[in-house]
Amino acid sequence: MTNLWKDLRYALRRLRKSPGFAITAILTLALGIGANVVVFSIMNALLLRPMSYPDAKQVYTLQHPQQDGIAALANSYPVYQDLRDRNTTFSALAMYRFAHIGLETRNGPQPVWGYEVSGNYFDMLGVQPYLGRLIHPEDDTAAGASAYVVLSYRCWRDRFGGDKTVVGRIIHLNKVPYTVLGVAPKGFVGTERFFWPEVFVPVMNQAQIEGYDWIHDRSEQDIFVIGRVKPGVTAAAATANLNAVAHQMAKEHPQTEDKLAFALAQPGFLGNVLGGPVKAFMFGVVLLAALVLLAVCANLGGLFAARTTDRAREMAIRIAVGAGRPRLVRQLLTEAVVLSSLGGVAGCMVAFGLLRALSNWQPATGFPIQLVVAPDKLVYLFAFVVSLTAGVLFGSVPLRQIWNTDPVHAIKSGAGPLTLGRKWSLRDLLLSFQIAICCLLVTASLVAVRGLGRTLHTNLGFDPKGVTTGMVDLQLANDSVTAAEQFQRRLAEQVSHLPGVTAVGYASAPPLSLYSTHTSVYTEDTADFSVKNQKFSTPFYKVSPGYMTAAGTRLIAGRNFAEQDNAKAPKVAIVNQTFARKLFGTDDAVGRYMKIWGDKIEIVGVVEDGKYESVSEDPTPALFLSIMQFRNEQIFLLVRSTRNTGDMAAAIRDTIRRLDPNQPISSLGSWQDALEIMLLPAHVATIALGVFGALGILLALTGIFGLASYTVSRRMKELGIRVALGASRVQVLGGALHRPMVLLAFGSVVGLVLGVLARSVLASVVYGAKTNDPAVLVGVVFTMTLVGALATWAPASRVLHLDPMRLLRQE
Amino acid sequence: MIALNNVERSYKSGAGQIWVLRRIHLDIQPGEFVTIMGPSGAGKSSLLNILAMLDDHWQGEFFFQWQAVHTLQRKQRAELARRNIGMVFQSYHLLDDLTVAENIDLPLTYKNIPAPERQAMVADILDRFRIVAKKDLFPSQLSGGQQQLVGIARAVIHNPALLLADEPTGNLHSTQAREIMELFRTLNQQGTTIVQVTHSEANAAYGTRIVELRDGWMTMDTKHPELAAASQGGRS
Repeated sequence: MTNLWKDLRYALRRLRKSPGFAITAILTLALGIGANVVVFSIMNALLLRPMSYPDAKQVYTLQHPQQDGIAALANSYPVYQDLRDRNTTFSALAMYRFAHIGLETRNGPQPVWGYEVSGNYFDMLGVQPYLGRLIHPEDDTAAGASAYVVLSYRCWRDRFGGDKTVVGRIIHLNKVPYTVLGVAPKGFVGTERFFWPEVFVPVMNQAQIEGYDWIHDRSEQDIFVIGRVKPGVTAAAATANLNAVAHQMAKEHPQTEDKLAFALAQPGFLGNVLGGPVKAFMFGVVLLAALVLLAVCANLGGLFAARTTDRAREMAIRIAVGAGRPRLVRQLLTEAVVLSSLGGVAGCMVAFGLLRALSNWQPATGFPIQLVVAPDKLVYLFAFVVSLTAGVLFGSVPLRQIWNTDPVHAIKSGAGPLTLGRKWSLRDLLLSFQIAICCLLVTASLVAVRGLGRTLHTNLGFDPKGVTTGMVDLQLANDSVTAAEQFQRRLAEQVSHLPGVTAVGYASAPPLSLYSTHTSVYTEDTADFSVKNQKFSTPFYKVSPGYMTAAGTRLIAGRNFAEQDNAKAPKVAIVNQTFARKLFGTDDAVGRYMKIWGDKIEIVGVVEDGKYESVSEDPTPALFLSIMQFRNEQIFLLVRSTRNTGDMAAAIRDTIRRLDPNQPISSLGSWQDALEIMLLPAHVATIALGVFGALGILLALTGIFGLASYTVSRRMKELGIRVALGASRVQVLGGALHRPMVLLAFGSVVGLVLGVLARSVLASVVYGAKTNDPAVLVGVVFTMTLVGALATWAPASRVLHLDPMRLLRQE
Repeated sequence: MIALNNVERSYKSGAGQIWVLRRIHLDIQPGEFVTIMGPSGAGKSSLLNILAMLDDHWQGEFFFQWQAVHTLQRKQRAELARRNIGMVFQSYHLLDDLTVAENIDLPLTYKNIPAPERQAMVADILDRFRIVAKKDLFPSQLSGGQQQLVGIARAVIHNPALLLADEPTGNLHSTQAREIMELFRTLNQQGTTIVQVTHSEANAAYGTRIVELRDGWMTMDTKHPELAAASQGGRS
């Protein structure tokens, strides 16, 4: 213990004596450890931390194994009832559904997101209330029987000022009075990791909340089923049991439940729908963060090896006076661990600041998307282990040197064996490894930037520039369908008269929003509308006559919707080119017919293809229906104008208030901003990889600079001799910087090759990652050349200004 | 071959300007073996560095083989030195990581001489200096005398017109020193002009002319006693 204390004191003294080295090392470590702590904290919050209810591992979301997307998760309420009543392996099965609700506050109605839940939802999860009580089965027996609401902790704190007397108070949801039953516990944010509801209401009130009754409709598949398996029952047994029930149901309801099957997934990412991409993304990012730390260790390992060479005489004296080599190793490792601990503390300080900012960040998406990444015990433990490991890793680099120290030679020559000659040293190997990692990180960041560029310049099939959008949900104001339709038409008309407005339209949902829904498409001669007869499933949009012009969607053939395409007229549709090709095998679809929901519909127009659910999707069919024939209470207003978004939004808000002062409007802003959620993954990937690329460049700069400076300082006398023997400055410069440049070139080539090979990993982070993109390759070569030039600038300048006379005099 | 007219060298320090060479006038003819002597700090090595064209910061006129060195650019001076001057150092200044043969080859590599020609020249000089057996050894495997032998071989490999030697035997014992000085005499007899700096009277005796420096002034020149007297007069 005394020895350890001595080692510690000596290590601190040595660091005080070399403040430049200590600060560089601590900052380098802070970058590497900080990056890893941030990444681990995010992974912890997303994947490792259990959901906020007891025995979370026993709770599963039911999803359909054979499909992708929302449809693979959603079920109808009757299916839920059948599963709940017939299964034998779950102690309870509950359901929830996202709902957009107008919550009346002191500032008027505010649109909030909530869950409609089955009465057993909270009991199944085992959640206890923070205040009052939660919803129980007896609160969810019949439609409208129990107008109760449970508030989330955050909603209670932010919207009700943390008022503990809120329990029992009447509040209005969509203008209907609801009694506050209680407040959910602080950490409970529902059963999705990203999507945090503010209110919970019994699902039996769905017609009141959503404006239409879907609860008995087997074709309305938009609820999520979640359940807790009985103790001792395995996931496989539960799945088998569910599928047995599903098989039975398919026989009973072949039209809607044909081929029904289930798989179990841990809740959190819409079952596992988003889980795969999130896990792949995190894997890629964790790998890159680990590479950054490895580069840091290689960097410091090289520095440590160089310092150990310079300390060979000190080491030799220690051995000569009786110190064992293990003792020296311990001394060196202590120094390394002290450094890494200080670096770890600095890294954690930076990381925790970033995490706090990330926790407070809410993307402007109109959805309650949030991620709390506050560090917990696991994160602290990780930071400690990473710091310790880093210290041991880079501290171990010079161990072989110590072990091979020849005290007689070292004392006589005053330094360790020269490693700067023709032999390639471990330090060189470490630097080329570090440069290779840097090059890989630079490649990754350039791939991400190119990916984002492609995403931003892809043809969306509409032009969001200059368009102001906002969501008006007449159901939130509890208006009738007819009143809602009249309101929508009046609103569009009045907005079209606002100064600067060039086009106005509205739709049930715009493309590339999270509100899009699908329907099955059938040929015109279909009579049996079972799943097996559907041609394909397509996203559909109910749109007004002015929509295509306002959206900037190009009409390829036929016509746009017009005022005469109303409820009294034959039903018509506009489709995109992919839809036409998929159904008819040709773009020439105008005048042809198809069927949806049993209705025969004539196609009157074909529009250009676009992006509908993801900017990275392959060409997808899309269907546009006339909103006057297929009514919708919720609309997204699209207003194309020559005015700026702020002025336009204010003018739209005034118009709505004039029409109905109680009508809430949400997500009012530019369409480009509203697309943020779809671009979020690309932005996050670019930011993450950009940061790693910058870290890589920084580390390569310090690594090459360190080697070049060290090489030059150790070789100044030799270089002086060469000048005295007739070498030109350029020849001397070449001799001095030859090795760092060779290492830079070698490391860069290895890094580029690794980058090309790591395409699949990069593809998990950036959609369509192309590492063999010529622009990326040129960018990497340019960046690495620039890194080399910058890193060797100062040492090169020292060589060019060397004074052989002075150097040779120092004998 | 060499003409220095009123050459002066000084350094700036906190205390002002320190003069290390004052009004040096020196002519050296081809084939001479000049010894520069004087106490430490007299300016011997500074003068040698000017002659070697390693120093650029002096004033006065310097003609080398009728070329006005004082008018040449740094690069031109370096080229002139590379073609005509060889240098021998007190501490040998061999490169530790190069073998004997590679050390000797070094000046040739800076002259862009083709490799086969260089190999032949190195083989020839190894033979002349009778160190063929040592050609693959590293400097640390040689004695001091052997190292200096290699240093001289390296200095004369490209047949320089002028050989400059700064205390060439300063680190050697007397027997080795004698051998080196004999070698210098031979080289001089073969036509190489030599300028050496030494403290040793015995080494000076191998030369044909002695120049003495004191406090930067030329106080004696065995070839031109009158110049030394004038210089003495200039000091007072």
